[in-house]
Amino acid sequence: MNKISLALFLAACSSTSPSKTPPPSWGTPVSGGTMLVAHDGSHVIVADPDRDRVLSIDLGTNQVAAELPLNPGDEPGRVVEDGGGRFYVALRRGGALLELSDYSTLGVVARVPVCPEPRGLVWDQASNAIDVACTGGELVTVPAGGNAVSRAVFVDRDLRDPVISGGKLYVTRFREAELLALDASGAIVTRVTPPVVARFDESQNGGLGVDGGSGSGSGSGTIPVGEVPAVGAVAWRTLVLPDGRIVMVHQRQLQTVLHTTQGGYGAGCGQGPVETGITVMMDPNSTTGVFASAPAVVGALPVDMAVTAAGDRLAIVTAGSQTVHVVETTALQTPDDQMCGGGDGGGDGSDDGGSDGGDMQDHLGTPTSVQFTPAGDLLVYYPELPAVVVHHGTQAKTITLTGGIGYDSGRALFHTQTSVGLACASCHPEGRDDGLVWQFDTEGTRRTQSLAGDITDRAPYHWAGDEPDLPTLMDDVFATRMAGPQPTNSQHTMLPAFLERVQAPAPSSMLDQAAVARGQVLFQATETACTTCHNGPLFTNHTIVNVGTGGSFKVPSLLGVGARAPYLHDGSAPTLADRFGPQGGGDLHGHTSQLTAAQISDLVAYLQSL
Amino acid sequence: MRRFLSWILLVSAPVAFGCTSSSDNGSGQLPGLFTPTGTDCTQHTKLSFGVDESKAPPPFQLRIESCRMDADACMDLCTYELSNLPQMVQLFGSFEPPRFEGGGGGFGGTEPPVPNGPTLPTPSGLTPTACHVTFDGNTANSDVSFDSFSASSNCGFAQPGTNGGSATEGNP
Repeated sequence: MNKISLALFLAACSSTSPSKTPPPSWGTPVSGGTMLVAHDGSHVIVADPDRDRVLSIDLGTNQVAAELPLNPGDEPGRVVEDGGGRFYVALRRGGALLELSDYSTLGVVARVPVCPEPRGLVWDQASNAIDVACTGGELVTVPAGGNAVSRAVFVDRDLRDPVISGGKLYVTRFREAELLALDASGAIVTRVTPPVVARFDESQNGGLGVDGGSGSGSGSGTIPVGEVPAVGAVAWRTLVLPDGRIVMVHQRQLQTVLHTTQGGYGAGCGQGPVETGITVMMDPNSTTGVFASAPAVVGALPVDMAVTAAGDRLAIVTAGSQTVHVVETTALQTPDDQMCGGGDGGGDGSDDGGSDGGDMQDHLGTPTSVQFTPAGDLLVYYPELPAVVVHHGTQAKTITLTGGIGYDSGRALFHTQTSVGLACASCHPEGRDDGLVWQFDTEGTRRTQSLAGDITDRAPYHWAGDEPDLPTLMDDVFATRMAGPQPTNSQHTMLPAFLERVQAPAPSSMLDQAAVARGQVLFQATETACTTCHNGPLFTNHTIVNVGTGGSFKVPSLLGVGARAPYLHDGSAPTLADRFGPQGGGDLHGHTSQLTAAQISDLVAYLQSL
Repeated sequence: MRRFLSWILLVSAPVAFGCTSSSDNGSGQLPGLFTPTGTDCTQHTKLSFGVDESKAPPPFQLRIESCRMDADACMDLCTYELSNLPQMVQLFGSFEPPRFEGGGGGFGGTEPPVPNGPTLPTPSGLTPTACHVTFDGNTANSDVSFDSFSASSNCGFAQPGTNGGSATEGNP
């Protein structure tokens, strides 16, 4: 080795190499919508669920004005402001509503326990109170500035965003993409779902040809052969426009047949079986009901949406494509008659847009939240760097936040869309499930399984238990069926570690505890034989058995089962009570035929408590 | 622009030694519009960069730190560097042209190069075939290799719609 080579060798080896061992798992599943611009436009409040903290950023100086560390695992989410300049943050896992004094200090006024899993918030100006919607079905009211709950009612499971329009309270349901109109007592008055729309499906030689369903608007009626229905699902964000219209950004399921071959999840016009939809769920100035607008956004995981103060523009984040789309609200008046569901009304798909319109990519990882300032500037939050990017026209300014870079290759993979426009989180939003059943070419009907709750201890995977471990499943589903890139060694290691930290849904706080106790006795009784298979900490013995439901299936864990309707491998039991009906396998599936209706009700109450 | 220039250096490409980290997808991708049918259709290129993280724009900071924490994330850094190469060439005229292994030919990305035209790289479609990154303090030194279409005289290609590439023609 000559001297020059030796010098080069020494120089090279004096440097350090990238780590061959991935860092500890980081972050939470993207929930979206964790940022709020103060009414006066001077500050933006950022809830950081990945670092369990709340930040206030001065938009005049572009500096962090205050930072509030929270308890580990609090997972702050939605933020609202009341008329007195106080801010309220939903602690998604902390089970509380956090009241903050102002944006200058973020002083904690109170931490009010509200429900196990609070989600959306709204400030009701008329009553000067905060309404909190919870996944357990609770709708909880806390007076502004107060330190206790003034009312709690049970509405329905899986609540997401409460909104107020025309003085009336509405609340959405997440997976069902429903808008519930409530009366003054919190009782449900009406339920509205996005209209079913028709989509051409080139992967099918003749479509399913089913009736278009009950939704009014452009998509109702019988869908001809060669087309498939696309139904609303997973309502990530719902807001009220200044004119009172309630707008929901949600996913749609193309009810096509999925293939388990390479790229087999591609459907529709090659864009996959899940698309993004924008629906006017309520229009106070129209008698036509809900209205599915023309597809304005292409991209997976529409996790957040914002509207300008003037109501002329919407910004929508598609986390899967790491893109922010700005569209004119006039697009909401165009009916959905595009059979391919494509097109992008707000831009040309390139990243040369600005806050006035078009698509934007800041190349800072996965965006999760958007907001407009009163002046019309667009703010985008990127949790990984972390940073807030301020878009003023075509100019952009990055405000890098403290906290250090958050890195998790598994988390990133989970939220990345593949060439068929599908991300893992499309069917497993927030690491759980979309509540949908899918038709597979070789397997038949399968309900999406939840990933939440000790996933790494639940092998083997899939209903048939034919995926022995998660890396094998990733290769099969992500790389093959979804046509994604082959996962790296790091992703094989980090995705399971990331998902392992996703907890099973918490039970509702409003269960009848006496019924739960009676049901537990029944569940554990030898005569019902429930614990023959559903035993241990995960309520599964991991075996594959035939319990008379149409085949041999892996015994599913019962953790969080109350939040997993519909039930059984094909979703044929809409409720837990229905599982004990004819489709449940009879006494091959436990021994419950001797139980009274009241006992079944108790057993269901116990299952809902798991 | 001068500030932008200050954080990135293009250096000649030293051969990587054993203590460097590497990622190699081995894809050797070529542009999709034309199907090469002759020989010498592939241009192998290696570029080297030295990026000072403390002065780099936020998108680079994210990718550099991710690469530092996880070798499997370095391919994303190399891909991002490639995707920004033409921007730098076009925006900063004093930028030193890259050196090619094998000589001759031009860059190719989503489109084949214009015969006898400029040899600027095209931003999208360039996929690293090898990516070696080491760190010297705040500076991330990366060697990025990629394959591209070559318009050499020995390369014939079929145009789209010519039935599987049976009809070929040589480059001018």
